[in-house]
Amino acid sequence: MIRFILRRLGQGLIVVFCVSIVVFSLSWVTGDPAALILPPEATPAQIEEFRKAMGFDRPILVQYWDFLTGAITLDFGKSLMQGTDAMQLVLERLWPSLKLALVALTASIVIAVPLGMISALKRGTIFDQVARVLALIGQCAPNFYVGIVLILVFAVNLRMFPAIGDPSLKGIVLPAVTLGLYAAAETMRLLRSGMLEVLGEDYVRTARAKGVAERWVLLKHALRNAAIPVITVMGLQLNTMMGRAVVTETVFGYPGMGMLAVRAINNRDFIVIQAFVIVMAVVVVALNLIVDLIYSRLDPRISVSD
Amino acid sequence: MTDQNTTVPANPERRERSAVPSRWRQLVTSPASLFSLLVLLAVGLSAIFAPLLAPHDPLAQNLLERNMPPFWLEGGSTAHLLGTDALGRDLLSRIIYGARISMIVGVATVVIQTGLGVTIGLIAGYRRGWVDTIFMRIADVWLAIPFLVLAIAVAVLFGPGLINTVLVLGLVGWVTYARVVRAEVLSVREREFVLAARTMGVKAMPTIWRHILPNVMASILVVATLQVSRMIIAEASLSFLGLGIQPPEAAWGSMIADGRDRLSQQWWLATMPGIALLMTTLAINLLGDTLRDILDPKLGKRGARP
Amino acid sequence: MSVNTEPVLSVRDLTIEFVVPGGVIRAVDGVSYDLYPGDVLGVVGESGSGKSVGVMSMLGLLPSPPARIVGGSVIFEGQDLLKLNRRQLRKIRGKRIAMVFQDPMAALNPVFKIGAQLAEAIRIHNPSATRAEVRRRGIEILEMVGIPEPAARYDQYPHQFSGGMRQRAMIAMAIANRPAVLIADEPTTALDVTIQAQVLDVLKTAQEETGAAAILITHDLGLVAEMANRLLVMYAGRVVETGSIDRIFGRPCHPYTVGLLGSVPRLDADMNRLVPIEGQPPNMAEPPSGCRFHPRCSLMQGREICAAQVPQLLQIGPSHSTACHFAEEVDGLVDRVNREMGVTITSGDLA
Repeated sequence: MIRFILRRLGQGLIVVFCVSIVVFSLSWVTGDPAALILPPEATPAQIEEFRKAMGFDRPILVQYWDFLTGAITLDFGKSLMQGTDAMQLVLERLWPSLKLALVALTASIVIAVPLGMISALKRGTIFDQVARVLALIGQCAPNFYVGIVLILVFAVNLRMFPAIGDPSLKGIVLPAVTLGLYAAAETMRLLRSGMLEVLGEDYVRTARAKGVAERWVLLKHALRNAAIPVITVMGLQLNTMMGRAVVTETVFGYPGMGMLAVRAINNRDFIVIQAFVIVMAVVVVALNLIVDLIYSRLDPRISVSD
Repeated sequence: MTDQNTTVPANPERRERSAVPSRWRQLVTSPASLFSLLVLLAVGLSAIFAPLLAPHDPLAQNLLERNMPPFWLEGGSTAHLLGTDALGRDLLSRIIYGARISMIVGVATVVIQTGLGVTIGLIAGYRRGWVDTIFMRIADVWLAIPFLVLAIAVAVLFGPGLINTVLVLGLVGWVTYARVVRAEVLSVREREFVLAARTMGVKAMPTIWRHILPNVMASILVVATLQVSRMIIAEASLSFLGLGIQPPEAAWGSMIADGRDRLSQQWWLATMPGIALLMTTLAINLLGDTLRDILDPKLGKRGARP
Repeated sequence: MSVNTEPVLSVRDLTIEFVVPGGVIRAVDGVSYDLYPGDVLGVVGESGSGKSVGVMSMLGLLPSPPARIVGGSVIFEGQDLLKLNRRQLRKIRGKRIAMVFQDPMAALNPVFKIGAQLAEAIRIHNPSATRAEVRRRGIEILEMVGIPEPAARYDQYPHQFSGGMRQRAMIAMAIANRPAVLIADEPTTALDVTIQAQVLDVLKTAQEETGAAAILITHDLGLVAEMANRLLVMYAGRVVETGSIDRIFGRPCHPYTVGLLGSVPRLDADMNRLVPIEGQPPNMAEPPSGCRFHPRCSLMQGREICAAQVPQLLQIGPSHSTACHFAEEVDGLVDRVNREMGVTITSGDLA
């Protein structure tokens, strides 16, 4: 088990390392990062000055080395728009974003699992059909549109929740629902089809033949097996959620990493963007590792040492 | 005398298998598929014949008639069926022209992704060695970062605009196709007929290609269809964030972004384009699902069939 | 067969239908039999003969659409099982009547340990037992079915067991609560031939130790010969012959049974070739009229009554009944063939 974790951590580090190369080289892809960062009206003299100040005139490898050593000590340089340490800016907002994603994921599970199960049990009925249509819409509707509609209905018209999101209990509801909707729809569909498949399996029949109460046949024997593909997908869902969070936070003005990134984009603050991407990669790798661990506990057929 | 050719079904619920060609008839007979084809037809026609269909020029400003609501509300008129925005531009016309952008982005992006992905998959699978390793490491890194985050990072470099957006999305999304194709190539290249061809001096590549093509076609077709809707949403998200298509061009994403700020007064500015977006993605997803059903045996999709 | 005691299980006129897109299939049609304490009743027939469906309906294990119990009764310990509600049935399942299924890999839940699944069987019907007691009993039973190192195996998962061991574990689960009736549905079909004998032994031991009456469903006559003392031959949802094993094997009185026995390979007799039964099993959606076997019956020879009238199950000898219009004729034929070949088939020969 420990070896597994260590190996995954090692792999994760390599990935983050590669991401850092990508991130670093992105600023050189279009040629001159100075021209990228400065507004278009800058004169050649200003560009040159800026370049010297930022150290862009040094050889690339030197710059990359600086970048790397800085990255290890979490020093990415100072934010161009605010002048404060870029990494600190990003890390301050890491927790609100994580909180949003976790609340969204939890909400999606809490909604989708019962719906999926009931849908499977009542297959073919109106309930099932309506649920499936809703799930389809949930998977197709664009993130930001859902957010806007929710704001329109619940904030503007009904005034139940604030239009601007924040990490408080009331402020996180709408953004979390928006963010979690896609995952809820996907989970519900997966669980439904998983349950339908599992319910036809022999071991369910065996459980009944042993005299197990129907409720436990479903919740214990069936669900445990049907949940396995759902857990697998959850890693991916978290990944996509972290990406979508950027948009969701923008829609709701939620003070998370995503909003910071968008502001950095609009202000051409490439330092902050670099820090943001790296942090994102680390978070995603860590989350995936946790999901894999959970998955290996759930399905004993998967040997963790492989 | 009983029919000697019928066997008693072991499971009394045995179903009749339909012949191969008639599976494709599902495309026009199933209600979901019919709906999606109709919607897509409408969208496609809008995209192609926009100049003919749109009642107004989407860029024409008319400050006298700005902020008009849809015709069924007070203050609306049939000259502007869905109302106008803050600059007096007709919403319906902009939505119709927006279909163009979405369709172009959706299709072009997927074409690039598929081309890029299939090619890389072929090369990586066939050549193996360091070429394979490099490509697959890149793929891992690409997958480690959430799609939208990567798209944003790259879009920042490329800048806004239709062509740039298409390139960005194409470059970010090739990985799934590459993996599918690579897996197929790997499984085929060791087969005897390939080795035999090579010993005879025949190039192995065309043989491999001929054999993986049928297997791969089905998966790629379904994935590509679903990806079109994902890319349309991605473009809309990028435009929403200010990175994709910018005003004054009529793109659904940026229209929704504009509308977001006026949600309490001119709610139609954000909701109408969103409905168009929603319908389009719904239609594409339903089509993708139908295609998956049709190509089912080849994909070996597990899961419940009603 | 103990004539003096009451039957443990009494099935009368059991009729079960399936509603399918094509129509209605009558999978079990008027089946009746008794099971006495200590009996091992072998139920043989081809796929689709209704042998499994019948017993599954007793425990309410048939999915209720599309299955439909049309009529009949199954009397067990004074109650008609078909009329019980789910809660009442649950008290009986796994405790008074237990089942062993065909494919142990599929029948065991892959994500739970064997011990846990065994414990579940025990604990449901002994809610006051402590965990230690349950575990002890579980290991005890694993040992009884011949699983080596039962204490270690108790904490393993199904995929860590071999096929034969899994089936032993299933048998263990079934006898954990000392049921009065043990039903085994094709218990060895999914196993390697070399393992089949071992598992069969385990079944025999289990049945002897617990004194349960057993129903052994199979299409394998060798199995039946080894274990059963009574036989029920089914065809197309109906009982065609029933009685003690020795009688039926020695003097089968139904053309189908004759065919079944004739198609079994033998070591001692000189057989030029196996004689399979001609034709195919009937289409259960539109079964043949009259005697359902008549289209394949080589003894029918165009006799109209076979197609016109359903033959009743009538006694033809002590503990031997058969459903054929021409049972005596069949009996006579078999007798003659036996004498010509100088051979008498007994159940001992087929084992």
